Amino acid sequence: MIEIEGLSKRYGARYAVRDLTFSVRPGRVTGFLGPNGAGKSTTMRAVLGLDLPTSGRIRVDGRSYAALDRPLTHVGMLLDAGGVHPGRSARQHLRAVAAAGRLPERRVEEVLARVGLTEVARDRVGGYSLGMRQRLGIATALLGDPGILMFDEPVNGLDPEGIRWIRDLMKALAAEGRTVFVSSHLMSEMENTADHLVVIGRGRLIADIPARELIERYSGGFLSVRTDDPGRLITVLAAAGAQVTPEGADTVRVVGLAGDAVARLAHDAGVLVLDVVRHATSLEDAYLRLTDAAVEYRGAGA
Amino acid sequence: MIRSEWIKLWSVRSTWVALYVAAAGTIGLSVLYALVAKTGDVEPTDALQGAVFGQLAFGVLGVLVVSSEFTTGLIRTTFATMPRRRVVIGAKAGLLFAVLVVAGEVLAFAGFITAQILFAQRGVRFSLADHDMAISVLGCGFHMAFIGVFGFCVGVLLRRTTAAVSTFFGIVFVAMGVIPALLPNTVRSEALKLTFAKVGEAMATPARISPRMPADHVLSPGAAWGACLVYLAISVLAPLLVVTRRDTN
Repeated sequence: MIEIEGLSKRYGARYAVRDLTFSVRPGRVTGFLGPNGAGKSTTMRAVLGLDLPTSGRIRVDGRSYAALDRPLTHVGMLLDAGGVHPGRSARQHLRAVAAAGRLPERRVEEVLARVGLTEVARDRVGGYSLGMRQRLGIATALLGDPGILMFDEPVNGLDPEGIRWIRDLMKALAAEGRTVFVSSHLMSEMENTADHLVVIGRGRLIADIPARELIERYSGGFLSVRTDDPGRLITVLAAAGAQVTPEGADTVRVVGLAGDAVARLAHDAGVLVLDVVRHATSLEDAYLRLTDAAVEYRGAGA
Repeated sequence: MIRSEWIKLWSVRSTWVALYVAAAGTIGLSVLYALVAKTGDVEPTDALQGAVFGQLAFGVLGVLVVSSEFTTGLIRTTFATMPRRRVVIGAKAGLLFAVLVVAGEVLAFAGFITAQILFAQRGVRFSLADHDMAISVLGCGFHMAFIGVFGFCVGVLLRRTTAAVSTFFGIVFVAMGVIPALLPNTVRSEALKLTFAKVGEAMATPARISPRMPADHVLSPGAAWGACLVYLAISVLAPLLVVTRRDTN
């Protein structure tokens, strides 16, 4: 469990994160979404005590990070840029981290096996592929068998197989009852993984809702239905549970019903449907609309 | 924490390379001196002049020990693993110094004894039992270790390998040679005495036989050891002070 309360981080005159409050709960994958520069990495580093907050409070398992005994047994992290000396072997790297974290040496072999690096554990990390490095980063995160795992942009640059491996792993870790907190700037990456979403933009909280709710609220699109009797159609469709609003003189906007259902209901009510135009909205679109106002770095003319 | 740093130190090649370079330079120059010096005016402590290569290699090693962690991002894992950063830096500095003192003394004594053996073949005899000779060799090795810790200090302050290595060279081998020459006469000789090179010279030459030139100012051996210890303390304290005040991104 991570509790963030009123977190602000200022660099000079610019706020990277401003008055951010949310919690990350165990047993599910929480996606941490926001455009590049929204403050995701800053927030994650602040949780680990790496960035010193300008103000606000962060609790990890009810305590401040610095007060944790053997922090690696509480939180494991995969931070974006690898964080391994290329001249060291995977096994030596893990042994050094285990020693610093006062973890039993046998954990090294256990995590190597879990991420499938046992056979190359003696090789220098400099010769690893990006996917192997990412696995080593995850092995490092798992070393203390922590209840909380934080992954900063874990699928960046990975091939499809690597992406699926990480997704499955995150789901498995959450199913084991752990807190999984994973950042991304792409909604599509979260679509099949996250149970809950925290969305930030320009350092501020935009949404903190279950993923399903975001999908229901913002995606699925709507239908523009042209008809000879808008008033009657609105009554009929609303009675069937759809959200219906007038869009023009002879057109209504329908959310929550598919085209065939609209046609059938209209037919039964004796209303003529003249035209149905489907406006699809993907989760990606929903996310973009959600963060649109908050995008900080926008390309000229984009 | 020390154990972790021990694993890190010996699991990268740069540590071994630095020690080999230091050994080759230090002992190599002892051999060279023993082969070319005129038997009439042998100055045994001059056999230790290769220590400057040891200083150079140790300094780079000192920089790398910490800057490689900042450059690769490993430092974030390290600090997240041990949030009390001063413990991390203290362990690093302590282990580095311990290793370099041992290595520095081994090289200094090895260089000296190599020269002693070679000179003996040519009929020139001296030994560690001579007046002040052992303390000269000891001072030479200790000063090498100090320069390594100074490199570490620069590494923590600047965090980037290239910046730290060039700054280290700039200070130790350039600025300290040039700046005293620019100072007014009244303070020049005092400033010169306090440069790392002259402190090292004073520590490594208490056994010197031939008189120095009048313009050659060095501290007394005791004062030089004192200055070296003060520099060493500053080189450890400065990193401890800055490391808790900065973000680690």
